[in-house]
This record gives sequence, C-alpha cells and structure tokens, in this order.
Amino acid sequence: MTDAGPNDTLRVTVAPDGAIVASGDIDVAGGPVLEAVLLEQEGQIDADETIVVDLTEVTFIDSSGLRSLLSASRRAGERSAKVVLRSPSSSVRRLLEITGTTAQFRIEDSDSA
Amino acid sequence: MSPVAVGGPVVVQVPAEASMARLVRLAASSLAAMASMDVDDIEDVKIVVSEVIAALIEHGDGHDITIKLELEGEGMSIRGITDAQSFVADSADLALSSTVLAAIASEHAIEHAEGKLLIVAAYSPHLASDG
Amino acid sequence: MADAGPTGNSSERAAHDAANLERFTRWRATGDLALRDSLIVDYQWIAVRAARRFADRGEPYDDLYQVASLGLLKAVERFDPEVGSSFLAFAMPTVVGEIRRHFRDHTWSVRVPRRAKDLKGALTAAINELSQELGRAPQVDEIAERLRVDPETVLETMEASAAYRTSSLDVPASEQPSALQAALATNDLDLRTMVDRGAIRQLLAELPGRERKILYLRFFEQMSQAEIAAQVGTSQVHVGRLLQSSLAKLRANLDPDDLD
Repeated sequence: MTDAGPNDTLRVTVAPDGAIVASGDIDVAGGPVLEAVLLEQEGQIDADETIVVDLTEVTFIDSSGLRSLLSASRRAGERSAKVVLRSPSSSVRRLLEITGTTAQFRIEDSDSA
Repeated sequence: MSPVAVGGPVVVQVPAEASMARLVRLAASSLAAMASMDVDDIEDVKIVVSEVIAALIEHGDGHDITIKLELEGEGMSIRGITDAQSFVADSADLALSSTVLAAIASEHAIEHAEGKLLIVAAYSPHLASDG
Repeated sequence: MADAGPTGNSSERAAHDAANLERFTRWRATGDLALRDSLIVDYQWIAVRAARRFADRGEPYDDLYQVASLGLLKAVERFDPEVGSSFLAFAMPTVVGEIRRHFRDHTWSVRVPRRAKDLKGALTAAINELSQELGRAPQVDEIAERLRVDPETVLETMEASAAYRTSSLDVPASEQPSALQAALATNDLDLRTMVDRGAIRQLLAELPGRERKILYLRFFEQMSQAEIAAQVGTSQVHVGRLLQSSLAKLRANLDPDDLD
C-alpha cells in the first residue's frame, strides 16, 4: 500500500514485515500523509504490538513532521505499546533531542535490528 | 569561493499550501549556499524556514504567505507574514515549533497584530574554523 | 624510512611525536636546516599518504607527491610546538590544503550537471571525506569541486538525500554555540583543525568516571562550574581544575591515525 501522488515529496509504504517506510520530507505537507498511514496501520494490528517506522530514506523533518510521530507514540502508549523509529538519521535524532522527545520512542539502528 | 554578494532581500510569495514549504526551503538553501554556509548550517536554515512557514500555514487565514530572506552579516534573517484574523498563541504545536526555533535560530519571535501574523527568526552559522 | 607511516601502537606513536616536539623546539631556536630536514624526512610518510589518497583523480602521482612535499615543508616551518602538541594534527590539513589548491589551479573540469540520482552515494562520501580533511562541515562549492559538478547539482542532490549532520556535537540547547565548540575554537588550533568527533566521544568514554561526568555536565548540559560542583559534591575550584586537566588529556590523546 502506498500513500503518495506522483509529485508528492513524501512516499509512505508498508514493508512486508509491517514496517511503515517513509521516504522523503516529513514536513507540514508530509506529516499528515504519514499520520494517515499510521492511523490505518494501527487499526489493523494487535493491541500491544509495536509499530515500526523506518526513517532511513527521510530527507527532511521538522516539528510538524515530528508531530505525526508523537501522536502515534501517544496512541501507542494508550495501548501499552511503543513506536519504534528505525534508522533515524543524525538529523532526526537531533530533532528528538532538542525537543526532548527521544524517550517517547524506541530507537532501532539498522545494525541492531 | 567567497560568499556571493546579494544586494537585497529575497522575497517569495506563495499560496498558503503545505506543498509550498519545500519550495521555500529550496530558495533558502540556495541563498545559504551563496552565503558560503556549510552543509550543516544549510540544514538548519531549512528547518528554521520550514518551521516559520508551517506555523503561518496552520495559523493564518489561508491567504498568500510572504517570506523574506535576507543575508545579514554571516547569517540570515527569515521573516514570514500572512493574514490572520485571530490567533491563539497557546497551542501545543506552536510550543513545539518554538522549542525547535529556540534551539536552532539565534532569535525568533511570533507576533500577531492588526490582522497579520508575523514570524521572524535570525539564523547565525556555527563557529567556523579556518578550514 | 617508512613510507606507510610509523609503525607501532598509538602510545608509541604518541611518544614518537612527543620526542620530535623537542627537535621542533630546537630547530625553531637555532634555525639549523639539518634539523629541519631530519624532521621532514621523518614525516615524509604524511606526504606519501596524502598524495596516495588523491591519486585517482586524474593527476599524476608524482605531481601530487611534489605538491604534498611542499605542503609538508610549509608545515614543518610553521608548526609551533608551544601552541600545538601534535605535529601530525597540524601537518595533515596543511598538506591536504596544498593538494586542493593544486587541483583548483591546475585542473579544470567541465562542470556537467549530472542527474541528482546518480550522485547520492558520491555525495555522502564526499561530505565525509571533506569533513575529515577540513575538520569542519564542508561548503556546497567545496563539495561541487570534489564531485566535479556545479553547485546547483549538489544542492539538488542534498534535497534528495537522507538528512545527515556532519557534527554530532551540535545539539545546542540555547542560542549560544555549543560550549565544547567554543572551547575547541579558542583553545587549541590542533583540535580545531583535526577534529574527528568520533574520536572525541571515544576518548570521553575512556576518561575516569568523575572527569567524564564533569565534562559532560559542562559541555552537554551546559551547567555552570558552581552547579556542577554542587551536583558532584566538590568545590568549584576543583571542578575548574579537573576541567582543565581533562581537556588537556583529550588534546594529548587524540590518535593521529584518526585523521585518515
């Protein structure tokens, strides 16, 4: 399943292992796209399952992008689950650090998966 | 390469649409590159610009947004303005955006007056060595 | 005489470097050219290594080696052991700088706008290389020169590439530049030109627990010395002294091989 138009700057797909793969810019335009896919996926998984968001191909993220991840994290918390961020780049990590939101997620680097 | 002299501000006026954020980021990163900022500073400029335009899109009335980018000394000022009949300053998304701006921009301010929402930020490059 | 570099482990290399510092002092004091030349001979491997690294860019190795040797001579003449404790840290950027100047002056390439897609891998590699060589994040025109494309193509490729920062130390909690950066910038030319931030993190991990904690509180939490003293349970004066000695240890121990 892909959520994207031909010219969209964020493509969100679901990988065979259920990970949500974001590719492109997670900004004021991309954030809602990611949020929509997250909501749909959450409706399909078991209550306490983790959601994995693969950020390897993320080219840009700002606070409006972060919000989509934070609301997913909040919803996961209500289910006693966590959101896993896979391969966040140093830019993503730094955004988490400056907003103090690192602890809201579980970070998974590609070599520790 | 020494910085390219730019004789005045770069002004971009765009519809208040989310897809415009990237366009304005590109303009800002081009200008930052002309000012010989390094790649980390260019990333930061993009974030500052993106925060400004996102807030204007989300809190304005939906009319055109004007972004003014100006090289000042070693850094860049980013000013954005749009119509906004009303403005609620106390929202979680603005708080998050402000946190990011506080960490990355050297100064920033959000003002609402006379039916306009104005967001300004100043960006200063990191300390450079004589590379 | 080595052409691959001095052998031995890092503490032997550090000792070797330290012994040479004395020779630098004497050469500067006496102007004895034989001393200078003996230093050049000992450090010739730096020129060889630098020349080799740039050898696949279409310039003959012999030319590069000559340019690198000139750079080495300049480094030997300029290095002041009073200011810096590691000649290797000082020399490598000087030598690499000469080679870069050579490329800029003696080669001209047609700048072809290549499709952004083809360049992503090359971009990351170029940024990493340049960061190491320059000791700072590169500028767009420097990347463009390295990749032999125009600056606009570099910007486009950056847009299409995963967002990475070159410096993991840059997590400013306030509008001040990070305090560690400020210390690096003002205190020691060597650190500023040779920073390998991975190496610093590694060295931080090797400091005794209390010193590491104090450095961390000062530079990452940006606490004042008084606050640190209160937290750690000692006097402010003692915190100041520990900071000084920890920084000195970091400078002395940065491994020359991390420059590559």
